[in-house]
Amino acid sequence: VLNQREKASKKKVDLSKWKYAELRDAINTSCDVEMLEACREEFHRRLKVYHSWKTKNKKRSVATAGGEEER
Amino acid sequence: PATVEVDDGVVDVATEKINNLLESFMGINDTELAQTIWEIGNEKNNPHDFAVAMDESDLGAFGFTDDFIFDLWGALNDAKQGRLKKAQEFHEQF
Repeated sequence: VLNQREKASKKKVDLSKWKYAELRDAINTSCDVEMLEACREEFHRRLKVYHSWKTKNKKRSVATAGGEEER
Repeated sequence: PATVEVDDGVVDVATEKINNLLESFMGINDTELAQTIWEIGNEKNNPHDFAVAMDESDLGAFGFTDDFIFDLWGALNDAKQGRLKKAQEFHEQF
């Protein structure tokens, strides 16, 4: 499995399809610097999207709650 | 006017299952996010409409894979059909 991962990293595999546990395991076990960097970037991408959604969602909830209170 | 009421138990079971799937894909456990997915999926009758609705919603930015979307649909559909009766524990693989 690790060999496959190493090969995959060289082929610039699409990490967006990897599960969290797979990314985490790759980070914990791989020595390939490029692979580690790619996994880190994918983690950050997911967190950024999540954070952005959460912020937008919170603003919307606050606006809705405010609207209801005004009635 | 007639309204369709969804059993709270179904919603709870569905969001919990969705949350478990989110945890495995994102490493994030968020009931609000799970509820948003439930709300999108609850109105859809087939996985295609669900996938399109997910893409067109704010959640499109997450870039969920087709496999993951189908897993979510499976959970939604199981909950709607009453196949998810009780909470399932999440087993993290080490």
